[in-house]
Amino acid sequence: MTDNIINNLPDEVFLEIFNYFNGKSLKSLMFVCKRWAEIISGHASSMKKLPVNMKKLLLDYNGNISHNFHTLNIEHINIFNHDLHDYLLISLGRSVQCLNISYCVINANHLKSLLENLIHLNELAITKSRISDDPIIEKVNENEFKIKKFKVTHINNNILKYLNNIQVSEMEIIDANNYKINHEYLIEFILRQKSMRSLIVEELNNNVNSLFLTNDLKHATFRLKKFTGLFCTNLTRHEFFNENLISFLNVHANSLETLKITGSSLSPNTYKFSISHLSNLYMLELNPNSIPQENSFYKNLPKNTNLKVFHIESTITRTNINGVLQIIRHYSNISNLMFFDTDEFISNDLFYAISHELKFLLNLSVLNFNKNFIPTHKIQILNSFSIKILNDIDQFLNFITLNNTLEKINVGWIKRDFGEEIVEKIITQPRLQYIKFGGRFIANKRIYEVISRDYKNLRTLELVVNNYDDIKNLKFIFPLDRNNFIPKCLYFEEFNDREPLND
Amino acid sequence: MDIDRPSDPQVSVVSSDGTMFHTTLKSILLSGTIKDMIEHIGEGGVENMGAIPLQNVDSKTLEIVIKWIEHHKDNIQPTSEEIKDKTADFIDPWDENFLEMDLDKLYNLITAANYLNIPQLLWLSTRKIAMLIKNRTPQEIRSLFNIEDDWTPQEIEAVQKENQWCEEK
Repeated sequence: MTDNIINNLPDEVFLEIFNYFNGKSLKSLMFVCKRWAEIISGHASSMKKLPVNMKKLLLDYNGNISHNFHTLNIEHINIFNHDLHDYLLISLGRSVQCLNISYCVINANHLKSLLENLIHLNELAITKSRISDDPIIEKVNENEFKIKKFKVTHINNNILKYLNNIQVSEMEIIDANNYKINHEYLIEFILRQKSMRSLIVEELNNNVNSLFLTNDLKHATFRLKKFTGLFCTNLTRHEFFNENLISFLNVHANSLETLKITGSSLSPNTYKFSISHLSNLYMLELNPNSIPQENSFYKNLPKNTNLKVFHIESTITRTNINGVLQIIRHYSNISNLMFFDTDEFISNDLFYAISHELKFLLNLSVLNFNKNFIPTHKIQILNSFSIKILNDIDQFLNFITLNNTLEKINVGWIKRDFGEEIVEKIITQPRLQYIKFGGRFIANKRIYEVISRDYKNLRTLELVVNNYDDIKNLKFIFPLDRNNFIPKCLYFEEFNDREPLND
Repeated sequence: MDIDRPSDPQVSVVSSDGTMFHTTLKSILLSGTIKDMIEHIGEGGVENMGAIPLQNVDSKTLEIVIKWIEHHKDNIQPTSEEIKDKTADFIDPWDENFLEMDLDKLYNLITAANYLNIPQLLWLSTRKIAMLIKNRTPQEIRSLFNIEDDWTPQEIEAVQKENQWCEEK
């Protein structure tokens, strides 16, 4: 033999070799030389074998194809060909309920046929994938079929065009603009929906007006029956956005229960509309900086008693507190309030308003307490309190002693260790049944002794430990049940797989 | 023709450079190509058949192939369908040892296994190449296999751009 370079091997042999690699590795192999690239891209669709990673996915321990796949992930395959399609159908048939397709090039017909044949499909997610160019669309079975959740992330523009016979109840569109999703197809897709309940839109920047109506779409047609939830984040303010959003909200005013618009600002009109017309609103999440601050704005708004859940997305400051206070007055039946942070000048005012306006507040969740905050006003029936970061232990103690109706306390992270007398004060709260603590302090043996001796109604203790040494200590002090303290549940996050240590 | 007879008659093959090798029927039937040829032999049968000419296999390579088929003649060979579903995990140590050869020989072996249609040998030898490629950068692969880099930076950029939609962030 004269010429012994690897590139003398025929294409079919290269295909044998390349079949050992998955889509991601193949992409790297394309850069070895043009010959390899041609084989990989050109012959990709004629590869007979499945990529090895697919095979591993489909084979159970006995080497047999499992028929019980609940979730199927198809990743990095730009050879979504007949064989793969048939293989999936034959081997998985009816078991798949969740299908995740990511980093794939898909033939439209195969995708449609696959979706139509996975009859138990409940959730579909398509991420960073596209339909292969110029597919010949066969007239396949055009029966409508339903899936519950449909999520698209970074998809190339035309996938939705081909999925014209899917009915979904919850749809999520994330960062669609980044990959130039074609809004026409998106609108058409949404318009075809008969029972969409929830629509989540993130980071649509340009042309967002087309999502919330365009001139050439009649208002009445953009109506989703039983539509109950709209979540939008990071929508750049656009000329038509508020206008279109209002018409959208208007059409769904009687059904909409959840509205979440974060990271973007609403016009005063949009805002006014959402707090005065959305009579069924149950859950609202807003950025406090985007809401009007003038008292006059709120003067003639009718009271709304349906809203139960209110989330405030960003720091409450001197400049935006008035709007927040007005909302609290407007929705006086709020039972579940969550806010992130407060600036040092307003925290006392805010808590005053909460305790005086929100007579039905049961759950309160805060990021932390401001150092100027002095707990002086009891929140009437507060049942559950959650604080992410605990800086000042005395302040916290005062707060929970004041709110003696508390049954549940969840402390995300305690900055400083605290001693037995403080633990004693916490656990002797008359109605306290549940505590969750995070932080290193809980390794402290004495705390267990106090808890096991003095607890009153405590039934559940949940601990999040972040240090391996702490577990050692915990193990050492653990036989608490000797003292009749039987924690209902005890979690040690991240350490479940460690070997148990001996006493 | 009865190919399952207990006796294992002698068969001769001739390499492209004219060297004659003697092996047994059982061994040579591992080659799908030769099996087809023999099955279509008419009257006279295998005993009277002359040496089989193999135009595409040189003597050095044929010697290696014969070593492999003689070792495996009594093993049940997986069909191509079964090989399709094989994961790359289990390799007979004898085969592993057998495949310790320089790349030139390996290429010739692959070509021969492909031409002679010996699925198991093709699987083993391409797997060997795949294992060498695995976890190596394109540059490493080029120097290992002595491949000329015919991509220009501009072309690389264009291809990367084309594939951008599916790159991970």
